[in-house]
Amino acid sequence: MSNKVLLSSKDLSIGYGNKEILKDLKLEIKSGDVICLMGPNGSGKSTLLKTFVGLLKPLKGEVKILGRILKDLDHKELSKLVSVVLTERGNINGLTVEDIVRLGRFPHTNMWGKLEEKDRRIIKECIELLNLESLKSELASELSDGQLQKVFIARALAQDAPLIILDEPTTFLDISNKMELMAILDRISKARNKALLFSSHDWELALEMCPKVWLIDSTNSVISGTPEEFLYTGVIQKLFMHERFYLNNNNGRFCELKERTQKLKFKCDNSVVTEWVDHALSKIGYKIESEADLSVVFYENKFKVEGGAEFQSLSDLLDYLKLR
Amino acid sequence: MLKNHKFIFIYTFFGLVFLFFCILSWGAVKIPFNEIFSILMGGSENSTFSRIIWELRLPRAFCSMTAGASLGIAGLMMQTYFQNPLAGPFVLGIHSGSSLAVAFFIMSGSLIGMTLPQELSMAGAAISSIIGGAFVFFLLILVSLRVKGNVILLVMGLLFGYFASGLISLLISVTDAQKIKTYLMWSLGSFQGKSFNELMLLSICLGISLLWSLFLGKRLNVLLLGENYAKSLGLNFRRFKFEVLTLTAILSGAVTAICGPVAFIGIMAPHISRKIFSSQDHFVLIPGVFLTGSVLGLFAEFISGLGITTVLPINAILGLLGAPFILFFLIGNRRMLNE
Repeated sequence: MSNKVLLSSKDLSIGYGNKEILKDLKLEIKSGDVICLMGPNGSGKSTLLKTFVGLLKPLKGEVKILGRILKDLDHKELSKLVSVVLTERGNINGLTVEDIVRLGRFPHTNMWGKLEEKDRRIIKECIELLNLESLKSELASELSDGQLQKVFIARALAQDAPLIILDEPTTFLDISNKMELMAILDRISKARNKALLFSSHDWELALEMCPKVWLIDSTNSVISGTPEEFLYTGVIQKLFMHERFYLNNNNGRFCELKERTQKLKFKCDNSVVTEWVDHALSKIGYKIESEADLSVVFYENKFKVEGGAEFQSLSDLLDYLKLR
Repeated sequence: MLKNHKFIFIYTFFGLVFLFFCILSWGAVKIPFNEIFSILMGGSENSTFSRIIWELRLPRAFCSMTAGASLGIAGLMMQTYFQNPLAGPFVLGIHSGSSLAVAFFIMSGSLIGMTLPQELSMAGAAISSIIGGAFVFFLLILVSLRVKGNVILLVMGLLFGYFASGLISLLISVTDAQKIKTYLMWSLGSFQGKSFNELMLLSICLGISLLWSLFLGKRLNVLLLGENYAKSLGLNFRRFKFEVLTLTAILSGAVTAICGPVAFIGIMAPHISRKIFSSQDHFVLIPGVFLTGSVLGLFAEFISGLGITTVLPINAILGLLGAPFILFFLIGNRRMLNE
C-alpha cells in the first residue's frame, strides 16, 4: 500500500465572503488515512470540508490535490479526485437505492449516462461492500437514517475518487449504527485504499475509534494528532473548557462538575454496583464516604436505609434522598 | 429502459392517436373515422370534409399536441431545476413575463404610430415572448439563490402576475381599440386558427428543444441529489443553469407567443408522467412528458370543442382540470409545504 500524499494545504484561510473562519492551515492527507475532523459546533468543520470539495473558494493560500492546485481543476477533474457525503439529501423521492449509487458513476459515463460493464461491476461492489444487496431495489425515501447514510456512502464510493469526504456522517445515528459506520469507513480505507476525512463533534467517538484527528483549536487553526495526545497535552481541556465540566482523566470523558455536599455511607460487596450508585448519587449532590450519618445497605437488589425504609430500586432511593 | 416502460409508452401513444382522431372527427360537422382515413391518404372525394380536415382540424390537433408537449417539457425542467414539484411555466409567472412582453410588442406600435406586416409581427411577438419568459426565469433563479423554500417561488410567480397585469392595464389605457382586441384575443389562449408558419415555428422550437433536453437528461438526473452533490459529481452548474433557462424560455415563450398563455399543462404533465412511468429517470421522463403533454393538450382541446354551438376557451378547461390537480397534490404532500 503506497502512502502518497493526496491532499495538502499551505497557508490556507477559509471562510465566507470577508469572514475568515479558519486560518494558517497546513494539512496533509495520505492514501489510506482515516481522519476525523473534530471541533465544536460552528467551528468551521463544514466550511473546511466544502473548501476541499471545491464548493467554496479558499480565501487565501492553496489546496493541492495529487500535486495539482484545486482552483485550477475543473468540475469534472475534481469529481474524479474527491467524492463527498453531505448532510443534505436532495429530492430522493421515487429513487431506489441502486439509482442513487448509480448516480455516483456520473463523471465516468458518456453523455447519455450509459453504464458500461466496468460501471456495473463497481456499482455492484460498492453495494456489496456496504451490505446493501437486500435493499437494492427499495425506495430510498423509506429507509432509516442509518441505512440512507450507507447508501450515500456507497454512492460516494462508486464515484471512485481516491479521497472521500464525509460531513457529520454519524450525527443522527444511534450508538450501534455509529459503531457500524466507523467499521465501514475503516473497511473502505483498507479494502479500496481510499483516504477518508470525516467531521464530527463527538469527542468520545473520536477518542474511542480514531487514530488520527484534526482538531480545530481555540486559535481557529487546525492541529493534527491523536486524540490521546490532545488529552495529555491539555489541548482538548482548553478547547472545551467550561465552568460546568471537567475532563475525567481515567476515561477521557467530559463530566459535569457537581457539588457533592451530602455524604452517604454505602455497604455493598459488588464494586461495580458501588461505582454506578456513586455515579447516580452525584446527580443529586451526594457522595459515598466511609463515614457518614446516613448509611444504606445493598442486598438482594434492594436498598435499605439503616433505621429506616427499604427501596426496591435506585430511583426510589434517589427520590427519598432528594426529599430529605 | 425497462420493459414495462415500453408498454406504457405504447398505451399512451395509442391514447394520443385516439384523441387525435377524435378531434379530427368531432365538431360542428361530424366526420366519420373511415372518411378521415381516406382524406389523410388523399383518396377522398368529399371536398368539404377534406377542407375541414386539412384547413381546420389538422392544424388545431397539431397545435394542441405541440403546445402541450412543449409546456410539459418546460415544466419538467423547471421542476427538476428548482427541485420544486410546484414549478411550471404558468404557476411561476413565466407566462406573465411573456404576456407583458407581447403586450408591449403588440401595443407599442400604437405608441409610436406604426404597424408591422403580419409575418414580421408574428416573429416579433415570438421573440418578445421568449425574452419576457427568460427575464422572469432569471428573476426566479435570483430569488431561489437567496430564499429556500417551495412556496416562496409560487408567491413570486403570483406577485409577478399581478405586477404584469397592472402594467398591461396601463398599456391598454393608452392603446387604440384594434390593438387591444388583438391582445385580448391572444391573451385568452387558443389552439385554433393557427397559420402554417406559426405551426412551423412551434414545431421547430419543440424539435430543437426536445433534442437539447435529451442532451441535458444525464445532468437533470444528477440534480435530483441537489445542487451540491451535482457539483461534486462534476456538473458545470453555471453552464447547466444557462441551458435550462434558455430552453425553458424558448419552449414556453414560443407556445405563449402563438397560443397565448396556456395554463397548468406544464405542471401537470411531469407529475402524470412520473406517476404512470413510476420513474425519475429523465431519459424516460422527457419522452414520457412529450407524450403526456401532447395528450393533455389534445384532451383539453377536445373538451373545449364539445360544445355544439360555441367553442369553450382552452384556459377555462385547463383551469378546471389544473387547479384541483394542484390542490390534491398539495393535500397529498402536506409535508412539502413546511419545508
